[in-house]
Amino acid sequence: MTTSTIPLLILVPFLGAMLNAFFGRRFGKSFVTCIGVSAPLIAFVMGAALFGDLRQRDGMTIVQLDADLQRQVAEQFGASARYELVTVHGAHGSSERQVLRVEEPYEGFVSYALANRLITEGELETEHGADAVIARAGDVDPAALTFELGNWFRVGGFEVNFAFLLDRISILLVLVITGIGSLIHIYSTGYMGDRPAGTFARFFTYLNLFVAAMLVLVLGKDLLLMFVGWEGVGMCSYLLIGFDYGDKGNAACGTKAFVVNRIGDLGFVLGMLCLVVLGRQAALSGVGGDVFSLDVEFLRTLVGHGAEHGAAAAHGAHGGGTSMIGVACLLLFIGATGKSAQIPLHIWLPDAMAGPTPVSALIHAATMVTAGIYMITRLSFLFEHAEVFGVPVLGIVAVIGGLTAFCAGAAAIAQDDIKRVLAYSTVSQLGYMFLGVGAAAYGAAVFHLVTHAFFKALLFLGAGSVIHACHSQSMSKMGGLREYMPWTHKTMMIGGFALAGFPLLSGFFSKDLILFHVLARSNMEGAHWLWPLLYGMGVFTAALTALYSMRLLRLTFYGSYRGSGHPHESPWVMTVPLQILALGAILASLLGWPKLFMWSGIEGYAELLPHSLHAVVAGSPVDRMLEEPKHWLEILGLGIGTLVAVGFCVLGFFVLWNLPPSEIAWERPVGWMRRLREFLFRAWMYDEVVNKQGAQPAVKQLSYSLWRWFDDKTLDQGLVDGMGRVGVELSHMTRAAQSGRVSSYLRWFAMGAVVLPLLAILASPLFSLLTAWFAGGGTH
Amino acid sequence: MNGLTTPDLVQMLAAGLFSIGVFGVLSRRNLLIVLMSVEIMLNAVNVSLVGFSREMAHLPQGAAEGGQVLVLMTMAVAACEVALGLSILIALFRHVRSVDIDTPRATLLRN
Repeated sequence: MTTSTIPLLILVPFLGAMLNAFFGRRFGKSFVTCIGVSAPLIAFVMGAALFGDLRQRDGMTIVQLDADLQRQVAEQFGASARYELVTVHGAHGSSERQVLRVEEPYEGFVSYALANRLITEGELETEHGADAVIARAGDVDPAALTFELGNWFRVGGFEVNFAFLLDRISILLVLVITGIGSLIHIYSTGYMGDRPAGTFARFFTYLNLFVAAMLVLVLGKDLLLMFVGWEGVGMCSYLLIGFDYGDKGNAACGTKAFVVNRIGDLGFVLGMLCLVVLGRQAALSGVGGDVFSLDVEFLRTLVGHGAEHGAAAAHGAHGGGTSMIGVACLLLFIGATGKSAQIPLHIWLPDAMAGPTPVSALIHAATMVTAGIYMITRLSFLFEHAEVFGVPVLGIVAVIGGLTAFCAGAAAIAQDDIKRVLAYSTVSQLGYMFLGVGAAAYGAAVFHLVTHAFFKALLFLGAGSVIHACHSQSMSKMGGLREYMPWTHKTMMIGGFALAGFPLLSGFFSKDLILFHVLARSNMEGAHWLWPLLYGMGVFTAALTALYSMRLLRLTFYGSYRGSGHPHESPWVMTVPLQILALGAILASLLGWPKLFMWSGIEGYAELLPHSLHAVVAGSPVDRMLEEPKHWLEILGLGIGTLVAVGFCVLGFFVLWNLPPSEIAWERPVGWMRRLREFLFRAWMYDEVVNKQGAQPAVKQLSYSLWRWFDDKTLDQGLVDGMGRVGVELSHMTRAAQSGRVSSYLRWFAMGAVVLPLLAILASPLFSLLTAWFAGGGTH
Repeated sequence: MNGLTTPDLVQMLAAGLFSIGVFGVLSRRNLLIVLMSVEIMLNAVNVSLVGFSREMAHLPQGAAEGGQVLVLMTMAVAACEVALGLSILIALFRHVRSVDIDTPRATLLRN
C-alpha cells in the first residue's frame, strides 16, 4: 500500500457517483446496485489496507545518529533501515530531523545499540543526546501518511495544495465512513428497492457523492480542502433531505438545513480568514519562510506565534486575553455548531428527518454531523490556546455541548415520530461529544463518535425497517412489532440499550469516559464551578437518554399493534446490515475498555482508541493529572454511570413494559404534565420563539431594508440612475454655449485666444514640475 | 521715439493692424465688415512676416526669402478665403435677407 492510494480512496466513490449519474437510469437497478454498493466497499478495503500500513509504521524505531554511526547501523540492519525527514514534536517545540527508521522493535534496537556502543546509557536517558535520538516511533511521531497531488493555487505568499493527511484520527474516520457507509448502502438497496430506476440511480449517485465529499473533508490536510468536503457534504445533505422533492415540505426542510448550515459556514470561512491573516503575520516575521497556508502542519507553527501575540494583547488590555487564534477558533466553532447541530444552530437536524431513513442514518447520525467534532480534534493544538476575552474557547465548547445534550435529550422524550426521537437523541449525543472535546478529552469524544456511529446508524436503520413495515413514522401507530419483526427487534434492542448506556455495551464506556473526564476536570484544583454543573447535567442527560431509548423500544416493539395492515420483517439486505451493526455496537466497546476492568498482562489494551489518539491531539490536562491514576474517581464515575443507566432502563422499560400506552401518564398527560410534554414536544419552543419570532422577522426586516435602502435607493436610484442624470444635467449646462450666435462664438474664440496662451505660459513651470515628479515616481 | 528701430516700428504697425482687425471682428454686426476685418488681420500678419524676413536678411540659408514666400502663399489663401466667404455671405443673404450676424434668423446656422 503506497500513499498514492489516498486520492484513490476519494476517487472510487466519486467515480461510482458519476457512473450512476450518467448511466444509472439506462442500465437499470442491478447496475446501480452493483456500482453504488461496491464503491464504498472498495474504499473500505483500501482504507483497511492503509490502516494496516499505518499500524506497521507505528512499530518501528526512530533513531538519529551522527554520520559515522549511521553507517554502522546501516551495515547491521541493511534493508530494514532507511532515512526519512520527520517532524519531531518534543518539549521544546517541533523540529524537522533527518532520522533513521529501523524496522526493529524498540527494546531490541536499544540493547543492540548499547551493546555496540552506538549510544551510551546517558544518552538513552535524555533521549536528546548529542549524537543520538532514540524513541519509539509511536511516542515521538505517530506514523502519518501524506500525499500531495499538486498545487491548487498560490496568491502572493498564500499557498494551497491538494494535500491529504492520513493519520490516526483520519484513518479512524475513513473506516467509519466507508465501513458503516457500505452497510447503509447495502441496506438502501432494500429500502429504496420499490422506487423507479431513475430515482434509484439518483439516490445512489447522491449517496456515493456524499461518501466522496466526506472523505475529502476527513483527509484534507489543508483547511481549505477540508472546507471543500465540508461544503460537499452540506450539498449532498441538502439534496438527500429534499430527495422526495415532490412534497413541498421535504424541499422546505432541505432548504432549512442548507440555510442554517450556511450561517455556520460563514463562521468557518471567517475563521479561516483569521488564520490566513495570522499566517501572513507569522510569515512576515519569519516563522515559516515567505510562504503561508492553511495546512495543518503550518498552522501548528502558528501556535507559539499566536500565543505571543495573545500575551501582548493581554498585557495591553489588562487581562483581556483575546488572541487572534481565539477569535479564529470561536468562528470555526460556529461552523461546527452549524454542521453538528449544536445550540443555537441545531434546528435543522430534526427537520432533516424528511429525507429517506438511510440518509438519516449515514449523514445525519453517523458521519456528517460529527464533522464539527473531527474538525476541533484535528485543530486541537489551536483550540488549546484559544481565548476570547479571557474565556477559553474550549470552555464555551463544553458549555454549549452540555447544554445541547440536556435540551435535546429532554426534547427527545416527548416526540411521537420515531425518527424525531432519534434526531433529538443524535443532537444530544453530539452535545456529549462537544462536552468531551471541550473538556479536552479528544480521545473520549472521538471514541464516542465511533460507538455512536455504530449504534445510532443501527437505530436509524432499524427505525427505517419499522417504517418500511408499518408505513408510518408515528410511534402511536406501532407497538407489538416484536412478534412480526424478530431481527429488527433484537438488533434495535441492542442499539437502544447501547444508546441508553447500559453497562458493557459500547455506549456505556464511551459516554462514561467523557463524563469521567468532566468529573476529573471538576475535581482538579482551581476548577471552574461550571465543570461540576456540566457533570451533573451530563449525568441527568444520561438518565433522560435511558428513558427515551426505553420509551422508543417499548412503544415500538411491545404491547399490541396499533397500526393498520400487517407488518412484516424486512428482506435480508436490510436485516443483515442491522445484525452487523448490532455486533459492532457491542464490540466497539473493546476499543475503549476502561483500565479498571483490565487484568495485568493485557493492560496495554485499556482505552485503546482514546490513548492511541493522544499522541496526535493536544494533551488533555486530565491525562497529565492522571499520570498517577486516581482509581477512586474512576470507580465513582463508572458507579454513577452504571447506577443511572441501569436504574432508568429498569424504570423506563421493565416497570412499564406490559402496560398499554393509554395507561401510562406520560403518554396520556393531563394538567401540568400535558403542558410540559407539549413544551418538550416543541423542543423548548426554540424553533417557534427564536427562529420564527426572532431570527426570521429580523432577517426579513434586514433583507427588506437592504433591498429598500441599499439596492433600490443606493444602487438603482443612486448609482445607475445617477449616472444618467449626471449626463443630462451636464448637457443642460453646456447646451447654452451652442447658441448659434456668431458674435458670441467669436467672443469665446477671442477670449480663448488670450486666456489659453496665458494659461500655458503660467502653467508651464508647474507642468514641468509635475512631469519631473511623475518621471521620478516612475523610476522608484 | 527713442531706441525704436525700423523693425520695431514694422512690428508695431502689424500689431496695430491686427488689433483693429480683432476689434472689427468683435464689434461689427455686418458680416461684410467682419470679413473685411478678418482680411485686415491676415494682412497684419503679412506685414509682420515681411518685417521679420527683412530682419533676418543677413542670415544664410534663405531665411528672408522664406518669410516672403510665406506671405505670397498667405495672400493666395486669403484670396480663396474671400471668394468662399463672399459666396457664403451671398447665400446667407438670399436665405435670411440680411447680412447682420446677430439677426435671430442667422442662428439657423447653428444646426
